Amino acid sequence: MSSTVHDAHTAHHEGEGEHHYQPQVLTMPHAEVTQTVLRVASTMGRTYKLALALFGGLFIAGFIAFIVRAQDGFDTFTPWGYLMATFAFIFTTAMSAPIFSVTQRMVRSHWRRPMGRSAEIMSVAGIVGALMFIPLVLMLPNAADRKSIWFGFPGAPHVYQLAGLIGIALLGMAILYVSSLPDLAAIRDHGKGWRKSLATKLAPKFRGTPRQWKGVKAMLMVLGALYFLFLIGVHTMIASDFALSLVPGWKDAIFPAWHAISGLQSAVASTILVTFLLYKFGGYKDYISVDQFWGASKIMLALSLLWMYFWLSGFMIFWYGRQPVEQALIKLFFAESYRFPWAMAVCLNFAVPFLLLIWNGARKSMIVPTIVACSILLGTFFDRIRIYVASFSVADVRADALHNIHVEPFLENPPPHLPGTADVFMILGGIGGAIFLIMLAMKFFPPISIWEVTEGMLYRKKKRFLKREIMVMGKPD
Amino acid sequence: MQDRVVLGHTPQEVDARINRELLTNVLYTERRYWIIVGFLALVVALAGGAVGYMVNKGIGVSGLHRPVFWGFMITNFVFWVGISHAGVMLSAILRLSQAEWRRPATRAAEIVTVFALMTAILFPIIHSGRPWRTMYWAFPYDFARGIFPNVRSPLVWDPTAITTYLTSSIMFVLVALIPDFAVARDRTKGVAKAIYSVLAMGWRGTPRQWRLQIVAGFLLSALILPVFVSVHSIVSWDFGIAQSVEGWHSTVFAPYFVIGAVHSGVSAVVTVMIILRWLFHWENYITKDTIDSLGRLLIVVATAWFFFFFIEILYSIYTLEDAELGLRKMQFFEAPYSWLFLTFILTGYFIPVPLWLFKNVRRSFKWMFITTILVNIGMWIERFLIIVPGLARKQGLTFSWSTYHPSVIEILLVIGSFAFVSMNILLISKVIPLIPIYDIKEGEILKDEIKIGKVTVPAAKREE
Amino acid sequence: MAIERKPEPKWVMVVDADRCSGCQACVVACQAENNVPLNTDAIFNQKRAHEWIRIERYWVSGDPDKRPDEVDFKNLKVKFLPLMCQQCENAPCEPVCPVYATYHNDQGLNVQVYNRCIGTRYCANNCNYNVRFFNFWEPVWPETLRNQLNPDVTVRSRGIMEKCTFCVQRIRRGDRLVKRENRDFKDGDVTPACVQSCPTGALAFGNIKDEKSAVAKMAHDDRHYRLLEEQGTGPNVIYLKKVDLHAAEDKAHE
Repeated sequence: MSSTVHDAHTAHHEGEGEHHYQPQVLTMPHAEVTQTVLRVASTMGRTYKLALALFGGLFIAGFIAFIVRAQDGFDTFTPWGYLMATFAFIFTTAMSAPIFSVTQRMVRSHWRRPMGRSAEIMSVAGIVGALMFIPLVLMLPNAADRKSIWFGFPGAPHVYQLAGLIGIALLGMAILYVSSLPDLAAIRDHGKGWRKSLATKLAPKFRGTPRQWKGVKAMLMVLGALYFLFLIGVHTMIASDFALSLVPGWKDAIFPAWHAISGLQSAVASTILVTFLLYKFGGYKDYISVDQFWGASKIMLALSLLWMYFWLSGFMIFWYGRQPVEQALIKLFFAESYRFPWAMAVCLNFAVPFLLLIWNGARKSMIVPTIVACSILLGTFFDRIRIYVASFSVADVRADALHNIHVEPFLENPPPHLPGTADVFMILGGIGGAIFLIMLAMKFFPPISIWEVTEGMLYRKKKRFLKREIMVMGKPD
Repeated sequence: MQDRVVLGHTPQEVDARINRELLTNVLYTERRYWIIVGFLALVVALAGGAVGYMVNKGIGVSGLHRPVFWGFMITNFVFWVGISHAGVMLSAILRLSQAEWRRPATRAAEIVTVFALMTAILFPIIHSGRPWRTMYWAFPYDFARGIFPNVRSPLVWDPTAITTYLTSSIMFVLVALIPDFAVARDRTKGVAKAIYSVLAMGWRGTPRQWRLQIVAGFLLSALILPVFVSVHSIVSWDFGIAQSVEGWHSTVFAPYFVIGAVHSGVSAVVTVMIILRWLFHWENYITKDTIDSLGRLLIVVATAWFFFFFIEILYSIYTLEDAELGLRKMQFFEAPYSWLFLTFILTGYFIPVPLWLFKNVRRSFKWMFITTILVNIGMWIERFLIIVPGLARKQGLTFSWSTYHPSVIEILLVIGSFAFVSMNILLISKVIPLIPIYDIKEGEILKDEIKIGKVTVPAAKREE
Repeated sequence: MAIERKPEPKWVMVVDADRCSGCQACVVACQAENNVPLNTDAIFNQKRAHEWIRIERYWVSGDPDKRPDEVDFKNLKVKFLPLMCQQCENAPCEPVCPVYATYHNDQGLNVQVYNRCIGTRYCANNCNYNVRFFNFWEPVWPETLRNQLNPDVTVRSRGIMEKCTFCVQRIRRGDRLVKRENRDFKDGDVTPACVQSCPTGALAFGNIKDEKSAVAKMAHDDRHYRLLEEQGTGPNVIYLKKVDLHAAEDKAHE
């Protein structure tokens, strides 16, 4: 942003000691990109295998913990709060991640090219998410005889919730499939072993004709727009059925939108984290540069500010309203029972990103955005616990719960519900399972989008202008 | 796809032409200009008379009564604050994101911001019971009697936020104007030259001056953004924190108002730009590309706004409380509110947005003019529908329920505010170039193209 | 040596809806006591009438299957609800005033300072009970009523808000009385005009901190409730429910 920032790649200009940062312009031949990316994507190191085994083990342990907890039945909400929080965490982070790729593709930013694929790959976590979601949805009582956003639609909320969640998981994976079609074709032509045969099955016909390219791009636009609508919609549904309408008297229109903003913020954060891991340990040093972190951290900063702003907009109304219901809600969610996770969420989701990322120098590095991304992910985790464990612990779904609240608010605040052993294993299992799937998928789908990176190389040219070299950026309509 | 206007073949030629064409409005005046300004001045004078009458006789001359204590004037206040959100939205955000098409739109947007704010801030003052006391209380604070203003009141946050926003947007305009003032200084004589010399602050176009101006522009852009968001949030809290009005006490109000403001503001900028293009013959600068891009932006903004509108309704009625359901029933189904609601929802969203999806509409000045005007009709009614029905049906004590009809005075004030803003924009166009000359020149220099295979793709040089 | 201060009283009004006959004597008494501008036909039609205390009248259908406007008059019952400023503990009108024209005093009253008021009317918007009144016009009294104005009460000019004060001028007189006699408040020291004029004794006023006072006893009546209590405003007016022999039937309509 500011032109006074120092950087190693820059040249002197007009003798005033001013430095100009030059974005990385890749200049290797296309074939080389294809070759190296495919090679890296198909090798599995020892550490990788160990990590895969660890996360797989965690997933199995979590599944056993779920079976143990399920012995006690699904009649009360409270014991399942942490499973819901874990699901919500996976949904807000990994399952929402493709939105990063979708939006950046829509605004045609160039720096996103090496990052988009890893965001899309995270959609495979939807498999774990859907598995966790099914028992949770079945716990919800029918919408017919209680207050909910469904107004007693037949089949609500179960059918719509499941359709929404499975829909978004499938859409995410569909985006992954379509966007990697050209790369799968490359695996089909240059790969070996099971990868080759699988890729041949998945992309039998892609030859790279102009029509096919047009088709891929149009498909990505359509799927992207659908994905965006689904994401906002599913965030809204989950936030209202698993939190808002369970808590008597909670009437809060911004909450679903805030939940969605949190999803966008975590999507950027998880993409940044994965991109950093790919750079550091994945062997893709050539394709990932500080550009990606610089660009994405601007968005992360903006979303962190929005996160706080949305929260404040809602809180302000309750704070000033001072109605007994509002006071009870503030005590439950922010001030008393769940103030620790809330304080953590504010620090990690707002204070840390804000204080670190306002500095251009910090944004224009790899390590600071990664630290902030970790902080946001951790903060989101605490925040989901705060929302869902708290909601599940006061859940009252009787038909007249909302009416009673006006006379007798739930004045006695429940103490915070702490996780038991089974809860800890379910948390670890859920997150472990998601990571396991993502790691596995990265060994088949190239985590660097070969065609988008090579396309980017076409649009960026270096040119001489007056006394120095500058970059010319193509702006196709 | 993009049709770029070729302004000349050598840089000098381009420069000279830009200077000539964009300074037209400052240096020469057509007759129709004075006719329009004269007509607007007449309307403003009429509205001024209405204000005087109201101050003299009392608020009784309006249609307000218990319990509808706020009506047209506050609606109009919210509307103009909303319009003022266009300037920063376009200038700051697009500057920070380096969108090339922003160049011809920024100055007009900023000017709309400044005058819309100046108009908006008049309304809370004249609508108070004792405007002379309000002035005394607001500037300066009433320290003499040791009573500090009540900082818990949104009505103290309002002037604070709005004056901050007004000050910073004036600064924003002036910083961007310095190079253009210098151009005007070099082309005028006498008193005008002296004034421009002062305003240009010794601008000579040295690299250091340019760098400072760019840094200042970026800094102001970044700093003005939180102000921009806060202003309409605070305006929304005028309503939101009122727990006694069912339709106001909604948590979504702040972002809902902000995005709605951007929706109406950007639309207003499109309208203004199309009028100015016709009035000052700026066919070469305000091109189809410009309004096409603005149209696309509007689709996104409008849809986001519609989402907030939707969840505001959904989450207010989902608890099925009688008071809330009754209020919504009145808003949607009972005349005259039902007619207003229908007009609002059609003109605010369902007519313009589907039309904007068509490229031909986005690239047609006539259609964009019509649709953006429709949006602002809709958004004005939206504010009215937020403010008045909620007040008319307050709480369960049905004995006091009422309705509201504006008086002639209030209608005059609303019309007058539109004339006032338009007149001010036209008057200031005699003093400053309404399209940033230096910014257009910069865009001309940065224009480039690259060849990919057989295709030539328009491109832009990037400094960073 | 510290001066020992007597604890401030806390003023409460009790309205027994069962005794209210809707005669409007309180409304007239209030009008006369507090220099409330005249509600002429014109003003009334503008819906700008000032009634610091008003009698809200609600029709109740005697037939459980029909709405009040559908039954014939024999089956129609009426309920009166005298409504004045509730002097809320947690008054929504107070935080929104930019100039502190309305604030809480130490006797639990929500007071209005006419001099400070600039007439933003925000307090009235944020009042749950619609009991704040704005002077849309300069108040005028016919020549014949000039000498009727109460010298203890300010005549409000146009452009400012006003509302029930619990007859603060009488409370001040009571203050002076107990100070002079150096004793605590007892019932009868302060009687607002509406209470004084009520023929059926539906209104009672007193210091709720004094356990012997009538209001303290009535506050614990089984029938007591406060208006819009769920809004958390904490009104200082306590209502006693109307005793209704057919209450069970009416429940269906509430």
